[in-house]
Amino acid sequence: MLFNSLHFLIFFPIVVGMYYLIPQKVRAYWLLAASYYFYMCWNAKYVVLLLFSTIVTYVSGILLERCGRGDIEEKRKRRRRKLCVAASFILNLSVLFIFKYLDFGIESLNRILGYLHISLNAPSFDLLLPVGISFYTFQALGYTVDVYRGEIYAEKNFFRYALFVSFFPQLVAGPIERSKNLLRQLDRPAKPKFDSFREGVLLMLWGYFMKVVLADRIAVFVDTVYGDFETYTGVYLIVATLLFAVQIYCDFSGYSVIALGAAKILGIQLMENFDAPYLSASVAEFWRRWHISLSGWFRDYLYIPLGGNRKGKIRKYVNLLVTFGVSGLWHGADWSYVIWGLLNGVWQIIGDVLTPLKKKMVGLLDVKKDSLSHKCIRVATTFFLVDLAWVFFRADSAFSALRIIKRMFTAKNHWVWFDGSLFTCGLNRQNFTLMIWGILLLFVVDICKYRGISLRKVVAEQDYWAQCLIVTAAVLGILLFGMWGAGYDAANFIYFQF
Amino acid sequence: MKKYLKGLFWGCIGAAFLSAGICFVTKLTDPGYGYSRNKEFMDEGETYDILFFGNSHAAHAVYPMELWHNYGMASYNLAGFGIPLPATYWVIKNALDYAQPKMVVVDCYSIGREDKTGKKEMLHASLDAIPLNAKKVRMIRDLVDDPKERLEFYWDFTVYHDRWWDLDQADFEKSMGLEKGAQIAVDVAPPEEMAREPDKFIGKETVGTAYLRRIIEECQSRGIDVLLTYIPFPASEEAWQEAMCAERIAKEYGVSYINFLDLQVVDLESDCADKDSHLNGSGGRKVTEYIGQYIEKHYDIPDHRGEDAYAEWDDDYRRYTDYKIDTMRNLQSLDKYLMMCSDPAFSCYIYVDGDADIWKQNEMYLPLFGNLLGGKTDKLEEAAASGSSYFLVLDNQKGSRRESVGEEGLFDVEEKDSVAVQITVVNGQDGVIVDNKRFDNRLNQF
Repeated sequence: MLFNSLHFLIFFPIVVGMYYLIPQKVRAYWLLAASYYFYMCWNAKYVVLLLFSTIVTYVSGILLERCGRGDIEEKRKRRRRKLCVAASFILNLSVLFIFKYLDFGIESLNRILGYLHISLNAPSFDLLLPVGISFYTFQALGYTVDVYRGEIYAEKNFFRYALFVSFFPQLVAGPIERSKNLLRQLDRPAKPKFDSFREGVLLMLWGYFMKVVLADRIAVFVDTVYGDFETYTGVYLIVATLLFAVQIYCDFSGYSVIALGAAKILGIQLMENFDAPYLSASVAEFWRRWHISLSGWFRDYLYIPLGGNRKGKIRKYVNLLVTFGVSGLWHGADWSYVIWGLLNGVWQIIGDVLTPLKKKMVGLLDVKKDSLSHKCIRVATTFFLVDLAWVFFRADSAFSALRIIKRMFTAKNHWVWFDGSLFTCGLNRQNFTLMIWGILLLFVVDICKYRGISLRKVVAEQDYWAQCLIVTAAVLGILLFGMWGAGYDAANFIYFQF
Repeated sequence: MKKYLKGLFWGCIGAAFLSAGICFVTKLTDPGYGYSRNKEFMDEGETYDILFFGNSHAAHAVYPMELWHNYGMASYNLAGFGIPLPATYWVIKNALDYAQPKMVVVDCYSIGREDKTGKKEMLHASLDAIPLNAKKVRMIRDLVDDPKERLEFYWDFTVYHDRWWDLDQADFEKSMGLEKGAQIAVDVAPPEEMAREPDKFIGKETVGTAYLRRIIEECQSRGIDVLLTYIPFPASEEAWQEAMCAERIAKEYGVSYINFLDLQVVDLESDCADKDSHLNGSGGRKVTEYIGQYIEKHYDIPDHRGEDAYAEWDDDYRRYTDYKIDTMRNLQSLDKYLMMCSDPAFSCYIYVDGDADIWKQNEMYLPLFGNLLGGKTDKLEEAAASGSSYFLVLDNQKGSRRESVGEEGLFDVEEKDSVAVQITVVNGQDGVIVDNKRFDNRLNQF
C-alpha cells in the first residue's frame, strides 16, 4: 500500500477514526492489526518474514535480560549475552542476505570466477525482495543491541513489541526508530490532541507535495535522460543529475514526512529523518542531516563499535570506509551502491585530510568564515560532491555511471540551456516551470528549517478561517499539480527497494 | 464542550472550503466534451420526441437541427464516439431518466464487437456529463472490468487534473454545442473501395448483439418505438455482416431497420470525411433527410414548428445556421468549402477561372461540383475536360441553377493571374451575402 494510493487514503482515515473511538488500552492492538494489514496488502506471504524477525528479536531481548540475572559469574553472563546478540544478528541478517543479497553474491562470484576463467555458473534465485525488509530488520536489531547495552528493559508484551517492529507509518521506508523512543510511546499511546492532529495533517500535506508534485514530476525528466544517456548528453545530463539530487530528497524525505505526520495524528512522535541536508557545509554534516535514523544507526551500532575515531587517524578512515561501504550495500545489492557509499566516505576522508590546508588558506586569503559568500561556496561544494556520488546511485551500473560522468563534461551542447530543448525531455514548458517554482519553495522551506523557523507554528498561529484556507489551498494544489491518477503509473517510492 | 463545538464548527467550515474547492477544480479541468454535447439534453430532456444513439458514425450523420427545420421534429443526437453497444445501452438507460421520447433510433455499427468499453478516452466523452448516482455506478461496474480503472469514471478529475497547464478561456467559459449533440465533419476524403455484399450471412452472436437486444427490450418495455439503422460508409465485409446481423435482430423484435449500405442515399465519392468510416456534412445532410422522410412516413411524430413551447427551437436554428456560416468562413481549402456549399440552406455563385485549370490539381473537385448540382452535368464535364472557365449560379431557395462554360471577365486583369476560384454564398433564409471567398492558384484561401 503506497502512501499516495487511494487504498491508503481510505485505510488511514478508518484507522484514525477507530483509534480515536476505542478505549486507550486496546489502541496498540488496533494499530498492530492495522500495521499487519498494511504490510499484507503488498504481499501476504512475506508477513512471515516480518513475524520471524519480530519473534527472534523479542526472544533475544527476553533471553538477554535473563542471562544478565542469576548467580553465575560475570564472564559467563557476558558470553551468554553476546551469544544471544550474535544469534539474533545471524538469524536476521541471514534472512536479509537470502532475500536481498544472495543473487548479488552469486552473480559477483560468477563474474569473479569468470575473470579467472573458471566456469561455475551458479544459478540465481530471483527472489522477490520483501518491502521494507532492510528497515524493519535494522530497527529490530537496534532493539537487541539496546537491550544488550542495558539502555532499555526487554519488552515483555509480545504484541506491543510486534507493533514496535511493524508500526505502519514507518514500516516500509523508515525512519528506523529507536526502541528508546518508540516502545515507550507505544506502551501508553498518548491521548490524541487537536494540536498534534493539525501538525500531523500539515506534515502529511508537505510530504505529499514533495512526493507527488516534485519527486514524481522530476522523475519524468530524470528517467527520460538517464534512460537514454547516449542521446541526451552534456547539459541534459547535468540538469538531470542536479534534478536527481532533488528527486531523491523529495522522494525519500517526502515519504518520511508523511510517516511523521501519520504517526503524529495517532499521537506518536517519530524522529526527524531529514534536516535541510542540501544546506550542509561539508559532506560529514550532510550525513548528519540526511537519513538521520539510518546514519545514527550505523554510527551507534557499527562505526562506534569498530572503534570510531578513538583509535587514530588511519583506523578512523578505515572505519569510515567500512561504515559507508556497508551503508551503500544496505541501499542496494549492486556494486554501484557500494561505490556510492565509499565515495561518500572518501569525500569525508579527503575533507578531513585537507582541513589544516583549508584553515591555512582561509587565513592567508583573509576569508571571513562567517560570511554568506563563504558559506555558499562550502554548501555548493558539498552539493557538487554529494551529487556526483548520486550518479552512481541512479545509474544502472557503475560502468554506466562512469560513462554518464564522462558525457556530462565532454559533450558540448550549451545551447540546450536556452533553446527550449529541455522541455522535450518528458516535461513541457509549463510542467518544467512548475517544477522550478516547486524546488524554490522547497529551498525556502529548508532555509526556514535550517534557521529554526517552524512554518507549521506560523500556520498554527493564524485564525482558524485562515488555517482552513491554507489547508484547502494545499490540498487543491496537490490534487491539481500532483502526478497521480489514471494514466499516471504511480512510481514506487524509490526507497521501497531497500 | 464549548471547545469541542468550536472545533466541530471550524472542521465543518474547513470541509466546506475543501468541498467547494474540489468541485471548482473538477469542473474547471473537465475538458467539457460531455458538457458541450449533453448538457442541453440533460437540461431540457422532456422536450425531445426522438433520440439518436450509436457512435461516431451516427454522431456525424444525423443532424437534429435539420430535422427541426425540415420536419419540425424535436430530436437530440446522443451518439458517442468510439463506444460499443454495451456503452450505448447504458447511455440510453441514463437518457431515459431525463426524457420520455416517442422513438429511439440506434445505429448498429460495431454490433460485432466483443468488448464493452472501447477506448477509455472515448468512453469518458459519453459518461463524464452523467452525474454520479447509483445507476452510473452500475454502468461503470458493468462496462469497466478492472476495478482499478473505475475510479477515473466515478471522478474524472483523476484524469483531467493533468490538464492544468492546458487551461484556456474556453475552460472558464464552457459553452454548449449548437448542433444538439450532432457533429458536422468538414473534411473531404476520397473513400476506400466498398466491399460487396457477402453472399453468406455468418450471424455470429456477440456481446454487441446481446446488448442490442437489451436496448430494444428496454425501449419496448417503456412503450418507445425503436428504429435501427446502419449508417453508410465505405464498408468492409465485416461491416456488411454487422449490417445483416442487425437486420436479423430487427426482424426478431419486429422493429424497423434502415440498412444504408443497401441504399444509394449518399455519394461516397464526395460525402466521406475520412477514407474508411465517417460521413462529412454533405453525406450527413443526405442521411438526415432520408431518416426525416422515413420517420414522417412511418411514425407519428408531431411537427412542433409554430408551437409556443418550441419557440426557442427557431432561435436555436438561427444560431445553428450562424455556426455553419462561421465554420464556412474559417475554412481554408476549396474542397471543404465546396462540400459545405452543398448545404441547401445556402445559395451560391461560383466562378472558376479557365486558365487556372483547377480540375487537374485535385481529383475531388469534379465530384464535389457534381455534388452541388445533384450529379455531374454536361457543362461541368465540358469545363473540366477543356480547362475552360465555369460559372455556376445555384439558387436553392428557388430551386434553380444556371451554368455557363467559357465566360470571361469576372476578375480584374491584375487579379486574373492569381485568382482561380471565387465563391459567393448567400443565406437562403434572408438573402444576405454571408461569405465571399477567393482561392488562389494553389487553391488556398486569400
